[in-house]
This record gives sequence, C-alpha cells and structure tokens, in this order.
Amino acid sequence: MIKLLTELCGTFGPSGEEEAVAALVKRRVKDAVGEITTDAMGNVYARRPGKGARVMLAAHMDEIGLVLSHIDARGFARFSNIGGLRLDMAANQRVRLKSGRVGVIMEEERGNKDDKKIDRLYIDFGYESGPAARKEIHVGDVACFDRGLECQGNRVISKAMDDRVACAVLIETARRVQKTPNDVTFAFTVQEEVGVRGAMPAAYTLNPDVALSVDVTMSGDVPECRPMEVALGDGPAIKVKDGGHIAHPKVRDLLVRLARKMKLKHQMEVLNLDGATTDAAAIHRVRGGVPTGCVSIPCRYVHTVSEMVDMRDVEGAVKLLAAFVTTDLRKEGF
Amino acid sequence: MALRKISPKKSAAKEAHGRDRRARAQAARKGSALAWLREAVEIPGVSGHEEALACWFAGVATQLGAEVRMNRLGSCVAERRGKGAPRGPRPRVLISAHADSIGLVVTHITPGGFLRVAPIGGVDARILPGQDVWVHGRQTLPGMFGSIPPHFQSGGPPKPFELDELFVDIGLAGPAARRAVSVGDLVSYRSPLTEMAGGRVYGRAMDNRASVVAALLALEQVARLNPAVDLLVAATTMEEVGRICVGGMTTAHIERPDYAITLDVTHGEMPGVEEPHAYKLGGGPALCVGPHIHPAMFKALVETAEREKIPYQVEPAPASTGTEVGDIQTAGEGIPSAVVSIPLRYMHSAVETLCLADLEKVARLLARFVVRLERGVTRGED
Amino acid sequence: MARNSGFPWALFEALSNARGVTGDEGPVRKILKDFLKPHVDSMEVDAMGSILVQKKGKTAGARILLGAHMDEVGFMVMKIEKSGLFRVAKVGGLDDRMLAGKRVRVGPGAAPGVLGAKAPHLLKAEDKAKIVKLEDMTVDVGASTEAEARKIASPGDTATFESTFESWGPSLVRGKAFDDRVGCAILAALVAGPSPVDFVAVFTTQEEIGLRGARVAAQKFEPDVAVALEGTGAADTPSKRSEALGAFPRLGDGPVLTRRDSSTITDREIFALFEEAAGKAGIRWQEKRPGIGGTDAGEFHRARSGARSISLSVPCRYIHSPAALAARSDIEAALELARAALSPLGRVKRPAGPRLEKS
Repeated sequence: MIKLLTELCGTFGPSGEEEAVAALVKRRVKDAVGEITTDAMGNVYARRPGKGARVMLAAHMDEIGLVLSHIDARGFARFSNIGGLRLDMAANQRVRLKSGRVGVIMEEERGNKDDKKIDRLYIDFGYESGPAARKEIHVGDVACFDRGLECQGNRVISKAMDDRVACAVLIETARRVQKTPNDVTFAFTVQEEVGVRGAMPAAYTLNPDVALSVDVTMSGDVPECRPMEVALGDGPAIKVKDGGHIAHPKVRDLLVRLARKMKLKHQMEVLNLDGATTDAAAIHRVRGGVPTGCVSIPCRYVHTVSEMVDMRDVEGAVKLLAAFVTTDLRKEGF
Repeated sequence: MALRKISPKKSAAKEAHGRDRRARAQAARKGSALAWLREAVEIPGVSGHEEALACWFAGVATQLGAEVRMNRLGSCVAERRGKGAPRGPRPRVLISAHADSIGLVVTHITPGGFLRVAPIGGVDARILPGQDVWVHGRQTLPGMFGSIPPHFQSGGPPKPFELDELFVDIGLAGPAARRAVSVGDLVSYRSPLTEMAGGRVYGRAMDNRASVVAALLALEQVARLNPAVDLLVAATTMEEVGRICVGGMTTAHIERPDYAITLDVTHGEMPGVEEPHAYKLGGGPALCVGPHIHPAMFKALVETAEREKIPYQVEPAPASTGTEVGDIQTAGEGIPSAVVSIPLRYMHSAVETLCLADLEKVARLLARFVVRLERGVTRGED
Repeated sequence: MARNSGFPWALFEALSNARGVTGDEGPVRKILKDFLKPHVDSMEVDAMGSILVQKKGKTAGARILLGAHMDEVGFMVMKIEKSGLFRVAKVGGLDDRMLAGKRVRVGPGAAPGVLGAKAPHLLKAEDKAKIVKLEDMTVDVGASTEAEARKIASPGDTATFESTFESWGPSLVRGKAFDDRVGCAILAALVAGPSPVDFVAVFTTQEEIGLRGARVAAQKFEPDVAVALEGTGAADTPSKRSEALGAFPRLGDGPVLTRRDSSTITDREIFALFEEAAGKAGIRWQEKRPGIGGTDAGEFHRARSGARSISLSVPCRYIHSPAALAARSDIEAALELARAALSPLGRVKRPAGPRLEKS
C-alpha cells in the first residue's frame, strides 16, 4: 500500500488538471473493478454493479497548487492560488510544472514582510530572459509543489496526501472487497480543493442511496493547536461535522457500530473550522438529498508540502470502508 | 417511513417536556399556538438531528388531516389535497419552515470532566458564560457554561469570551464524564418557554419553531377553507448551518411545487436594532421584497394582506434574505417564491422573544394567500 | 480597423441605458424580448425571470447553452426618512469609495437623484481619512416629506447609476452596465443571425448576487457544453505594479478567454477549440488573468451531471461603476469569435459516464 501511496502522491494533479492521477487510478483499480467510466468534468467512476443499495464512496484526486498569472520581462512568473494555498508556507518552496520544469517561490525582499499577500511572491524558473521563459511557460500553466514522500515507521510525510491517501484507501478497499450485497461505485472526483465542484455532478450522475466521502482531517495532537480530539495513530476518524457538512446520524452511527463490532480503533471527529469540508458537503445536497457520512484520515499540516499521516489509521480506514460496503445497506434502511 | 421510531436518547427530551403537565394544560386552554410552541421548543432539534422534531410535526399534521412523509435528510412534509378530483389539476403550494435550531456539539472532554464544544449554526459565544444547557449524552444531563470569575481574569480591558476558552460543566469528574458523554454528542440551550406581559413569550429555538407552529395553524385554517390547492407544509432541516439550506433545497427538489412560501423569523425592533433592519413585534408579518422573491408573489401577498386587513411590514432584501428561500427558488426549473417573517428579538439566544399575536396574523395571511393561489400568479413576468 | 460583424449597436445602446438591477430586470427583459421576437419560434420567461430561447440551426449536435446575464449592480431602497431622503443598500459588488456624489435614477419612474454625503467642511479631522460608507449616505430626489418620497419609490424598489451611452474617443464606447449588456447584445445577435447548429440562449438574471438565474437555466437544459458571454474587467490602467504583476486584459487587444477564475476551471478541450476557431478566423484574442472574478459558467458547468464550459468576454474598464469603457473592435471580434466557435461546439462529445439503470 505504501507503494501505491508513493505513486499517487508523486503524480501531478492540481485542481482542473487531474488527468495523470485519473490515468493512474484507472490502471490501479482496473483489476479489482471492471466497469470504469468518466464524465464531462473528469470524475472517474469504478463501479461494481449489484442489486442492493447504491453506494457512492468518494475521494478527490486533485491537490492544491498554483497557476501562472504573468511572466515579466526578465522571465519571473507571478501566480494565483489553486485551492487553499497557505501563503505562510508557499515562500521558499519548489514547484513543478507538468512539463517537469522546476521553479522556486520567493518573496520580494523589499516591502512589508508581514503583509502576506500573494502579490509579493514570485516564481523563479531559472530562465535567463523573458523571451526564453515565454517560449516554454505561459499564463495559465499550472504547477504543484515538488516534494517527495518519506516513510518513517508508521508515519508517512508527503505533499498531496490530501487526498491521494484517500484515493489509495478506495483502491485498496476495492481490491479487498470481492463480494458485496450493494451496488458500489468508487468515485474519484475532481476539483474538490476549489470548492467541491466535481462531487456534485458525480453524485447527481450516480444518484446514490447512501454515500461516504473519504478525506483527510486536521489533528489536535501538535503543540499549541486548535482544541480537537483527533490524533494520529488513534484510528480512522468518523466525522460528526465540519465546516460544511453534518454527517447523517444514521450513516455515522452505522460506522461507529461497525468499528465497535470488529474492535477497530477509531475516533470521533468534530472539525470546527469555517468552510473546511469535503466532497460530502456537495454530495449530501444533490437531488432529494443523500444520507452522507465521512471517514477521515487524521493528517498533520494539511495544505502544506509536508502532510503527515499514520499508516495504521490508513489501514483502519480500509477495514472500516470494507465493512461498510459489505454490510447490506438496504437492511440498514438506505 | 419510520415515523414511530424515536431513539432512546431523544425520549429523554420528551420526558423533559412532559414534566410540566399543569402548565401545558393551562396553555392548551389558550389555544393551540402556545401549546404547540411549548411542545416544539422543548424538543432539541439541533441542525442535522431533527428526527424527534419531525416526528412531533408529523403527529400534529396527521391530527389535522394531512398526509405526511419524511425525506432522506429528515425533512417532513404534510400534504393536504384541495377540493376537486383526487389528482387535480390544482396548484401545488409549498409552505416551508425550517425546524432545526442552532446548538453545540462536544469536541473534547478534558481530564477534569469539562466539555469543550463547537457551534452548530450561528452561536454567539459572548452570551454563553452562565448559560444553562442540556447535554444530550447517553442520557440527557443538565449542564452549564462555566464563567471565569473576575478575580481570575488577567488585567487590561476585558475582551469578549471566545468559544475556545469556554466549557460546559456537568458536575462529573473526568472518568465519569467520559462514560456519560462522548465527542459528537449534542448540547442545546436549557430555557423553557416563558410567558411575558403583553402576549409575548420567550424561550429557546423560537427561531424557527414559531414558524413551524404558524405553518401548522395555517394548515388548520386551510383545512376549513378547503380551496382547490394542494398544500404542502414542510418542516425542513439544516437551515442554520452553511450557506446552502440543504433541507429546503432537497424538499423543493422532491416536491416540485408550483409556488413556495418560506416562513422564518426576522429581527424585532429594540434599542440599537432599528429600521431598516428590524420590524415591530406585534406589527404583523414582515414580507420580504428583493431578488429572491418573485415580484408577482410579493404583490399578491400584499394584496391579500390589504384585502383581509392584516397588518404587515415590508422587509427589503437586496441580496440574500437569510432564509432558505434562496435555495428553494432555484430548485429544479425555478419556483416562484416568497418569504413571510415573524419579528423576533434576541435571535440565536436562549431567550428569543416574540409576540403570539404575530403567529396568528401570519397563519391567517398564509391561509388566505393559499386560497388566493387557486388562481395562480403570473409565473414568468411581463 | 473595425470589422463588420453585424453587431447590433443600437440594441447595445438601448440595453446599456436600460435599468435592470438584480431581481428587477424587467426593462432589460422587455427590450430583449422585443428584439428577439421576429427571430425566434418560441421564447420563454422562467420563474427567475430569465429569457430562454431555443435556436434552430442547420444541424443538431451537442447540447450547447450560451448565456449572458441581464442584471446589473445597483441599489435597493431600504427606508424612507421623515425628511424625504432615501436610505439605500447595495445590490451586488460596489465600492463605497466611488459612490458619494454620484447621480442615480430611482424607482420605477427613474426619478433623478443624487447620492449625498456630508460635505468635507462638516467632517471632523479624524473622519476625513475614513471611507464614507453607503449606509452613511442618502439618496436625495428632492422630496421634502416621506409622503412625497413614497410617490417616487418604496422600500424594495431599486436605483441605478445615471449614465448615458456614448462614443468615447475614436474607438471606444462608454456607458453603464456593460457587464453584462455587452454579452446580452452579442447573444441576441447570435440568435438573430443564421446558425450552423442548434443552441439554447439564456438571458439570465441575478448573476451579480450569486449566478442564480444561470443555475436554474442550466438545471432545465442540462447542456453538454456552455459558454458564458461576459463583460470582464480590463487591467490596462496605470499601476505601479503592472510590470511585476501584468496589465491585461487590455482594451483593443481582442476578446478575452478565461482559463480559470474563481468560479470555473475552463475545460481545456473547449479552450483549445476557441483558440483554434480564433486562429482560423484570424481573430486576435487575449488571456484573462487567472484566478480573478466569476461568471455564470460557474453554475453552467456543475448543474446536474456537469458540463464543459468557458467564458468569452469583452474587456471593459471600470465595470461596476457609473460608466465603463470598451473598444468597438473587441466587441465586434467577440461576436465573430462566438460565431466561429458555434460549429465546432456542435461536435463536442460528452463522455458516457456510468451506465446506470433508472432508480
């Protein structure tokens, strides 16, 4: 699984340019699930048809990044954010374009250092002149952060852990679950980081009876952080609410029951941060409403280049999802 | 659907509101508005967790002869078919009132047994110190927000409290508290409905149980008037959370009404809160006008109020009305919509105050407007 | 050199002068309906007040939706003071710093009024540096009592900037509400002319307060591909930072294609399609600065099961103010580009998606 995670995290895929991740996901899920399709937005659906309740499991393929907005006379690039880019951490980072070209984000030396405005940052791709730069890079080109994956014991650090770790969880679940009484679709969605845009059409298309989104959540186990009971290594987190969604009580209670039944270490998650949410927010309001829950992977330093998760939580999430999709969800009232 | 099923947790709340039988009997004599309101505010119904409330609503609506159904996200719809052939054609009119209320949720239990909480909906942390609450754990327990005595506060000018520094005290030490309460359990204000002078009442969750009750009163009146309109009265969910009102939106998607009226509360006049953003308690329904309201619906409402001599107030809304109408209006292929509001003071506190007579006026206007919609209004303008 | 694209200048002038604050688009709707009537078989006004037209072309092809919004930013009357002055609130995005002293038209009868603020003489020293907020201004229509004022407008009625369409210098035009009456005029011209493919034209409402008319229109038609026709902000005015941050789009450099703004990530195949159509037709175009602004495409592309979408815009200086400026050549070229793209848009394919049984 760490191999799969390494591959996924290392693939280029800021919101709107998820094709490489989509191709990889399709390759890796193909053996487990026969029917793979895409839609107008680029969402990938891996479906195992069945007679029972229609279940949607969603993980988003996109990652935060940036888009070039101007290339100046000397070849320096300016940029705009893609998703919730943290300006406090963007400076001094390396970024990579789809072409492979690497640049460094730097902050203008003059001016007010406390003024954390994106306008004060620029990218140096190492071009010797404006014309040389313009031959290769253009306004609208997209970049993601350039940082490898490190595995140390149970803890893994990488960029784009949000939400490739959930893509890995879904793929692994698809591989492990051979028989299910339900009609299960693993949906790998696009454009979550820019406002949960892909999941809404995906849920509309699938019209599920019940849905789960799988995503990372923040943790409360680092020095001087927001009070939150979620900790790395304490198991997958079952969401109660976040900044955009309240988990459907029936789905949440079922997840708790399943975890207890198999004595799986788990934790309850209340993410009290305005606007911070997952695909579940988009899914649950589609059509006449979809009972939707969320399984979270606790993650430190979300939206930085060093997102850290614990593999025991990841493994736990796979177990919990596997139990969920093998439960007869019609009998549970969905 | 499973209307009869009330989970054990919620029956505790039911016990709580069963407690004061004498008061309830007294209230019943004063008419159903107060009695229903008293029952409705006693049920917690925090956003996303409205099942018990939907059951109560279904019970009352059934008694009034409506057919009820619950959707997958917990909104409850009561339908009363109008006169004429069983299947119409008649205009379908939706009156929606969100049934959920703001509340809190336990995020953390300290080693000492104090509960840290996060808001569900627009909770004002400044009013919490000293506030009585119910903690809906394994059992429903009384609790209170602790306040930090001035002796222990650091020097300098006092700052308003933030939720992060506040906690709920349930009188239990760490291990016992952990047995009784889990992360994710809900907290609601503990504040029984109280009658004041001048036909006013205060209590928790008047936003928006007052509207739910007014909608039921309207249903009662429409049953007597029996117009050729299929009336749908919905107690919707999850209005208080997020920019999108999921309950109203999904209910409109399922029911596809021809016209929709959203009932909600609006700010009542008080010192510091004045026109153009506040309305008189006792001054009758406030009728919204603005982009989220179909102009023909507003016009027909005003005409109805004038013909029936029901006093009304006009509430201009340059963008959002702050109600679920925005998400109902844009459901499906678009629904001509209107908003009728009940003036209420101290919104989102545990002592929301309103004038009972306004409920009656709102109900009367709604019932007459439903009759008026027999003829429909122009859907597309000009 | 201005091309002759057949852009309906007279219609554009009438649309720019017409008053249609969000939610109160009636006058604009009337002008458009009158213009469109001879050119269409049927026309519908939906519950949001949007005009929906199904245009027949030579062939069917992909379900194409073209949209332009009728509404403009403005004001709503909130209260009438005893003195006969109006208190107003903003409808849509307006900058307080440019409001004081502007001329406005108020209420259904378009009564002339001014946005009055305290004279500088009356300000305390510490207040002089502060921004005058709209809530501290009043609209004066000359009424001296509440009753007099009520004859002109009631709470809920709207007010617009006072502004008249005119030529500006050798190559520009000036007027209010170019965002998005210029899109409306382009779309109307497309409907009025012959088309190689079928398309749906929607003249939407309530864009300025959240793309609300567009959502409903897209839900009705569920397009395969959608184009928002817009008037977008130009950034070619003097700025200390323009060398560092870029100064585009520019007036006169052609229509603007958006790759990403705050509402939409443009489908790259559709972007390439427009690039190619522009190349073939010899139309010069320019980029919009990524990340800024939003258009109806934000709702078009994710309604129902999703659509591929793009925004095609005319660069305008000073949008959301009493008067915008735009280049005649950009407007003509935008219409030409939209027209050139129609045929290839008809060939756009929608991926099949999962094969689901009806449930």
